Amino acid sequence: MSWLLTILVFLPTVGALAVMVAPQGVVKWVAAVFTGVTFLLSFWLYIGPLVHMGFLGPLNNTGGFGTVMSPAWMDASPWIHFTVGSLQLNIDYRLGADGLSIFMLILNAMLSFLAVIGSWHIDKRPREYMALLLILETGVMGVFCAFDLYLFWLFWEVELIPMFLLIAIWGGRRREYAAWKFVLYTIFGSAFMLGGIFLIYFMLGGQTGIYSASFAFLASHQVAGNLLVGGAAISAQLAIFLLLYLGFAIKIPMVPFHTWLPDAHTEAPTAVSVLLAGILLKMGAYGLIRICIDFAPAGAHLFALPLAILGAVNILYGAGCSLVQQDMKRLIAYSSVSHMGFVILGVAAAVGPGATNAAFKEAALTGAAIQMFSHGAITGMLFFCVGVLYEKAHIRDIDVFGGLQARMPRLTWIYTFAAMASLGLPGLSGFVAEYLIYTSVYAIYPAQTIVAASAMIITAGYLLWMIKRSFYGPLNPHWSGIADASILEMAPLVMLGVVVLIVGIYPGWLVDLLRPSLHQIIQNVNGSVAGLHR
Amino acid sequence: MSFFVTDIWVIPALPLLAFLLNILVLRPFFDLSNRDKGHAAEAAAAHGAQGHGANTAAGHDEAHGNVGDPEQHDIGHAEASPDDAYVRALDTLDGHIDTPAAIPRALRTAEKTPGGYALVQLVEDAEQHPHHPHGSPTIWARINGYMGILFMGLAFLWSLGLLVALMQNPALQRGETVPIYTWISVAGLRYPIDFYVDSLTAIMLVIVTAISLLVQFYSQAYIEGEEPRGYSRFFAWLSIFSLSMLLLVLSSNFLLIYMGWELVGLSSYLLIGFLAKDAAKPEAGRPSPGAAALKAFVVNRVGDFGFLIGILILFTATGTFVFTDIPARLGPINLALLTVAMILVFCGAVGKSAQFPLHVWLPDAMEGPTPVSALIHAAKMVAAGVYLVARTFPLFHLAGPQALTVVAYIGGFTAIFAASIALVQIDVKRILAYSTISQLGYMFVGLGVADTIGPGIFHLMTHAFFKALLFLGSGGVLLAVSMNQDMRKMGGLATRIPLVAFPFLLATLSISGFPFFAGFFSKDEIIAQTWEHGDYILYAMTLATAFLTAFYMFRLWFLTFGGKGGKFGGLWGGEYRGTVAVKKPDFRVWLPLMILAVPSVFAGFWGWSSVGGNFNAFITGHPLTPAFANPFTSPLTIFGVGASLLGIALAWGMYGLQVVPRNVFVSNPLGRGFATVLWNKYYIDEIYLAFVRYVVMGLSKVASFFIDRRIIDGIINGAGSGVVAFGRGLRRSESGRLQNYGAAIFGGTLVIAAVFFAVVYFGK
Amino acid sequence: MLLSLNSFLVLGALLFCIGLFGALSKRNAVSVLMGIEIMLNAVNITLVAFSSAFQKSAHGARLTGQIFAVFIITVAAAEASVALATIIAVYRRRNSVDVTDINLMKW
Repeated sequence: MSWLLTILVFLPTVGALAVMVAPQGVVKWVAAVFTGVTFLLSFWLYIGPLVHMGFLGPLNNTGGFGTVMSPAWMDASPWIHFTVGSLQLNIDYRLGADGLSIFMLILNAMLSFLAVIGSWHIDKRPREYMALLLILETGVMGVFCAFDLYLFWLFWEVELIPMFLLIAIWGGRRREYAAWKFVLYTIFGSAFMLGGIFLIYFMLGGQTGIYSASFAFLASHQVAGNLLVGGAAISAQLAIFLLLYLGFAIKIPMVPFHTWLPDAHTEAPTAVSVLLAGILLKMGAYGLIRICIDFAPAGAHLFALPLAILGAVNILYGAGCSLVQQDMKRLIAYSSVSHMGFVILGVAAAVGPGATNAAFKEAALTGAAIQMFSHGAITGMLFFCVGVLYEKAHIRDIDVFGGLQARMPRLTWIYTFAAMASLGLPGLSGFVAEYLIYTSVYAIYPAQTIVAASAMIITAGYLLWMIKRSFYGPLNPHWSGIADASILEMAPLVMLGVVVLIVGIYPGWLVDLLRPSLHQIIQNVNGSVAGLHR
Repeated sequence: MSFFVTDIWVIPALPLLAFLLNILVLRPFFDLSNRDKGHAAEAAAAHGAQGHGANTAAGHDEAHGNVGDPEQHDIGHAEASPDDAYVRALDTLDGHIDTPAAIPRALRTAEKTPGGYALVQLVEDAEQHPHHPHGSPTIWARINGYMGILFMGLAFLWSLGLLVALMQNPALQRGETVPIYTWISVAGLRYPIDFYVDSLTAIMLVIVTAISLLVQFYSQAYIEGEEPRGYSRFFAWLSIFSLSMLLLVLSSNFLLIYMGWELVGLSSYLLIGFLAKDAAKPEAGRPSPGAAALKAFVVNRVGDFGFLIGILILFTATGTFVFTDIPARLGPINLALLTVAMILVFCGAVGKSAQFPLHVWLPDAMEGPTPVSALIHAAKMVAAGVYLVARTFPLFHLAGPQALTVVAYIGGFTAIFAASIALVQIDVKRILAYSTISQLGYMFVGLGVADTIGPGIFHLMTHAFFKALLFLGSGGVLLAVSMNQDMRKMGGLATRIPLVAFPFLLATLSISGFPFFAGFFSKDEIIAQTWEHGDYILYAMTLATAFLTAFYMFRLWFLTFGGKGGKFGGLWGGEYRGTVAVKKPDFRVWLPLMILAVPSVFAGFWGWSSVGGNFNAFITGHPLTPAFANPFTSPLTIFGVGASLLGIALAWGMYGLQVVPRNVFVSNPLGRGFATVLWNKYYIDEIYLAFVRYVVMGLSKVASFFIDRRIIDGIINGAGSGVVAFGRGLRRSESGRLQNYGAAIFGGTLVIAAVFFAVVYFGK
Repeated sequence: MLLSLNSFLVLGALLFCIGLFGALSKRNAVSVLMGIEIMLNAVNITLVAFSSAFQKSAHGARLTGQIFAVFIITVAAAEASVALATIIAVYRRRNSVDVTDINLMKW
């Protein structure tokens, strides 16, 4: 047992305790040091296996960073085991990281670090703010590396509390409404998710005689048979999929469960919006890929067509709503809805019909996974940009600005960069994901792809229109005194920009990182789909 | 194999290097840090976005009279309203909806923001005067310019070397793939970033690098005169424009060509919006640069959408992006599907090459600095569409004949359509813009009817030279008359700026199809091709367009350079109608014009096999059908030449000699009505505006403000308040009276007992 | 005449009802307390009756019910003292021992 994952998960908690006892003056530095160290450590997740394989090891082959069955990193110990009659409850402390987890963990560590840097200006109870950010990081870290379903659910709920407080205390005008909406939506979903977890655990236990919630076990055994619901028999896997998916769909968020997102984004402080868009939405997407379609592949397959339609609707609906927003943050929030639709679409194609399309399916799933990463980085940039502007102007309405380029050239260019990345400009990471998804999903769901692709026009429209209204034209004299982004404010933007650029120009390394994990999922899906049609 | 081919990556690497050195090293660490930091206003605008904002008092008064918004006087910032009014006028002009309610609230908030903006504004107003930009670029900015020119020069030399190498070695002309790297490889699907070199590539490389080089050289003077603070940035954007176009031209597959395609869109967005501070000029029908840039990008995206779907059809059917691999892997693909795919690919070309119905962005793109217009119109952006069709021509051949028919007819219609709009415009650059659209139409006709890419690409080449010359020349005119684009305030400039006028005249003759000039060979070749392939409708269209082209180009010439009282019957010089003094341009302006004049005149001979060589044979390996190998053996030439001479004569008569009354066409109501329609560009902008405003935005508003806010949030909030209301009712039972609780306990016990008894008793 | 078990149960039930009635209908807190005491004693009678009726074995009588009764008496005494103390505290504060006046714990 290596302790790396445990350290990564709980180092921020230690940091939170340290923040609570640190002298007032160094609170932010303590938080920055702890998140920074976590960030640096998280790189070892990626570099460690590379060193182990001799750096130029056979990454392209099945080894690499492992799969959910045999991840590259594993911390496990028995935790709660008890038996009452025939009822066995076995919950293990099991943390693991394969390619899919590793890159989400690194993204989380990076964005948490940047969030601390980007919150330097917070002067309302900074101690509690930083402590909550650190606890949030623990929760999210746990979600991305929990390899036991109950532990996953535990971390999933842990993350809610700091997020609720961060929005409700440090948020904008309607912060309490937004915070409650966020929490109630999520808890509504997680109630169903817990139902799904019980269902898969006990059905699988009953059918195999082994009661285990470990991911490796769940991925290698599948629930069979039907469930009687109100007299009608439905596939047990479909029921499990739908119950679990409801929890994830709210987090992604999928239309029509998305209305918490614009409110939460708009009201949350900048850094929290960044984390919300960059990380929390990814938890839903990660759960969809890691849990839903891997553990209930046949159920996912049965739901593939509605999923594809919902994905396309998400993309177009989110884009349309973005077009008419007045508030920059709301606009970006809706653009998140739109962009996360690509994840849904990619996953739908991955579990879609057609046995001969295995290559396209894997490409679609890869695209969905990369979209998670790139959306996190790009939307993080966009929110930081709005945050910089809001810090100086105390207003975010697009129409009140105008001609800011004359006063804020640095912000203008980095904002334009982020907008271009978001609308899928080649050479930046947004394009990688979108292009992979388009080119592969079209083989399986052409009509949905066309609908989704039509959003690229609207996306360009709303983002560049926003830029135009705020930054182009004659300078609105009311903003004559506004200062440009400072070096401190530019730092997170530039870091994210570099990541976006690297992924955009050479996405191959990311694909290699993901390949074994996703290949296993696709094989699982194909195997069970073949069983379904036999 | 020649190292010119194997190391072809050098060509795009050079502008990339120039860009990186510029933006990462020279600009931030030398240019910006060495700028004059005399006063706060400049320091705040350190990135050089200062230019000539229309913030003077005079400008305000004018604008106020036209479009002032009474609502804003309440706020007590009268000097703010004209700017806002300008922006709003522009917004209503180019298709965006504004929200009056948002402004006052914002302004109130703005008053609370820290900083003495009022003082800064005063300083700035005193400094800024339209078209009298202060300051000059630092030496480091100039070094950036020299570096860009040097690197582009090297790229040009490399391209020239490549062209020579290919000419000497016919084996190389048929194409060579140069692998660079694999972008992504998933489950056997390969997304390659590879280059492909054949004679088409070589020709395009030479055109792109040559025009870029000359435009960069020219830009030194132009940007110094128009926006000196953005000097470095302008050269950075030029480099990235060249890079994108070179990637596009060099690509061996649909992935890289799409990337270059989008990057060209990015570069044009940045460059068209370069003069970001300018406001719209509704009285001249001109949008702001920002609006024009936005429009260019979004309209192009419409085309890209079709292009992307076309790529998707081909890729999912064959599993490869590579042009040369697709035909072999097509297998039993449905012919109709391939036809649809190719028409969709052509959609992309329609967008980039500004063909009807996606031509609307190009005239607005004139808001960019004139060298940018020259680049966009001659070698880069618009040529990309033609190049795309040429590059994928084998696939068009495999597809059903409908695909190429669509190409030809879209081209033919656009040619005559745009030419007719150009007849009545009064803005120099807009006339040239419509002429570009029209000439691109010719190229598509050439590609569509000729069974070979030769004529289309030939016209692309000659057009690149003379159109670049025309634009750079018009830029020279604008510099001379202080950026006034209205031809009504010009006239007789030939004697005042002869070094600009002379090459401009040559280019005008060339585009009009005057015999032995480059445009004559390439255009008449296309016109003859339509006849030879028996497409008489297209023949009539292209012939009529030739007449219109000659007419409006010479109308432009006479209104700008000639006029009453000039030599040779008004051809050279004459009365000057403007008020500002004419400034003589320096050598950085006229030298590129002189250089461009050479190919504008002589490039055509490459297509005349008995004199200069056979262009088509070089490009495709097969000489063109013999009927047009020599233009003088074809009787059709007479009609083509006749049409253009007629157009020149009519323009001369109306505007030079002034023997034909100017209102000869608009004196009757029908002609006047038609002219109004033309003046308003067939109202296409208005139709699109209405569509976007009422359909797209309307649906979006329904989605956002009705479905989201009312229905979904209604359910959510309703569920919340339902639970709350339930709890509110339930808590009435908590009376706080001991006896009530006691009674409830006893009653509850009784109920339990009764149930238990019933179960025990009836259970048996 | 030997009294049957039923007689004791009826007595217990009657006493319980009287106590219940007192506890629910009286407004004076002391009267309520007295009602509760009566109910407790009714339960005691029932317990002792059941015990003496059924808990006869070969080894003699077992006294489970009686012991319960003793416990209840003890607890009732403690409870009465606490309750009376509470009532006195309330009286000092409110100058009333009417339970309808003591309704702070309502919505």
